[in-house]
Amino acid sequence: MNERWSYALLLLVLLGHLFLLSTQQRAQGSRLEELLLGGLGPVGQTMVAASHAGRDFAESFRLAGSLRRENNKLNQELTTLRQEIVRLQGVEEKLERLSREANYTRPDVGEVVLADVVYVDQDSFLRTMVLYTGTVGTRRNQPVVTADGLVGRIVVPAGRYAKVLLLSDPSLQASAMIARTRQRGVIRGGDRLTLDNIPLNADVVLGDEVVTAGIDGIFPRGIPIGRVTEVQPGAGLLLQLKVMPHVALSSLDEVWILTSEAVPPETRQVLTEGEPP
Amino acid sequence: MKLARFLVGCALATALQLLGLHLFGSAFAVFDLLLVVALYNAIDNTPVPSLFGGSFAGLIQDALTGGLFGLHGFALTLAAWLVAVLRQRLTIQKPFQVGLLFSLTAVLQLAVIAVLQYAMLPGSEAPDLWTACWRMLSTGALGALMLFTANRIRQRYGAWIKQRRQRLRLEVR
Repeated sequence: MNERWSYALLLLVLLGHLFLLSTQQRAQGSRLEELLLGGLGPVGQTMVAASHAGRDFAESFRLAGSLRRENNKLNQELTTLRQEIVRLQGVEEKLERLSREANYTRPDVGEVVLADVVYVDQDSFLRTMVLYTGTVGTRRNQPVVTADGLVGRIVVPAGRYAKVLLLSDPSLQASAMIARTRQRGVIRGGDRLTLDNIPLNADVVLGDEVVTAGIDGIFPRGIPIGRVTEVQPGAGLLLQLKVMPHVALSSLDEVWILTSEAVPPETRQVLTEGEPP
Repeated sequence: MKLARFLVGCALATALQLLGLHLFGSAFAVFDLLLVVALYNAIDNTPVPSLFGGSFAGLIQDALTGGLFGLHGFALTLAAWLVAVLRQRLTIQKPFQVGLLFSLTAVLQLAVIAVLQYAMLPGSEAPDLWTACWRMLSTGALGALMLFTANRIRQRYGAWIKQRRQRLRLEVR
């Protein structure tokens, strides 16, 4: 093949890539990406399984002596947690009874689906991770959480795998509030999260718990995000708060996907129909 | 044969990259094994297969990373093509020369990604300087090591074949 053809092919391939780049929006996958992710997922999953097996093998030798002590401690914890469950069941029953009496309908919390973390990408400018979700179907914008709090939302569902935009990504935004005062703002992702749109005269103290506000149509209300570590003046008459996230994103093995939708499909449909053409 | 070797290389690089990131976290991000495989394929090929190889490896990276899909594909296509063209026009044979070429290409790849990223998404973060430096060094070192190892294997295999032929000839006589 002569040199001219080589240049022409290079140009063609580069233009193809540019076309691919120009046809997508931020944090939304293309069909080709979904296909490649579906194909590469099993490789990542095998590697994770292999590393877990190796780690477990080494751990079993290291922990052989302390297992009995650990077992006793866990049994004690289990007893305490069982008592706590009984107490919380009582509280829930009471809450439901009061809600019925006040004619208050609470949104459906839905189910949680456990998913394995296959790969965490902390190098790119968009911080993402790939999950193995198995046969459970996922959809775009499903919230992903752990027991500690918010992790992110699904941006590319690809069959048995899904790509998640992490809380540490600068493009992730969510409505959030200070749990103590219910003061709402907008949380923005990054290595250190920032909570914007809080008025200067708002009651904020260091260590305040920040949770999702549930008004962005993606994340349900009350998912813990982090704690306020710094309060500084923002633009105009607003404060900017630095928030330390609860979840250590670099050491996740499993996460939960919330199946509930913050805005039910029927409501979303009505809202879309109501939009001007 | 070269295609099969490249595909096996890509599969191994992907698996090792995933394993490394899982075990060592973001510290392993200083290595870009798919880049090394694509450049090694380019140094052993003409520009056309090299650019397709670079494109393929780049798209794999795009599927696994969080950036815009096609960003790494574009950068690696250009990088692999450039390496193949330079290899045709210059005498690049020693591991040191290959290491230097790989290092410079790694810088070029990062620069192309940064420029494209900024053009498509103004306000996005620039790549971390330390990670870029380490990646440049690691890509060069891995490229040089791969070439050195491949040369040694080739030499040993050649010597073994020669020795075996001589022995066979003696037995026939």
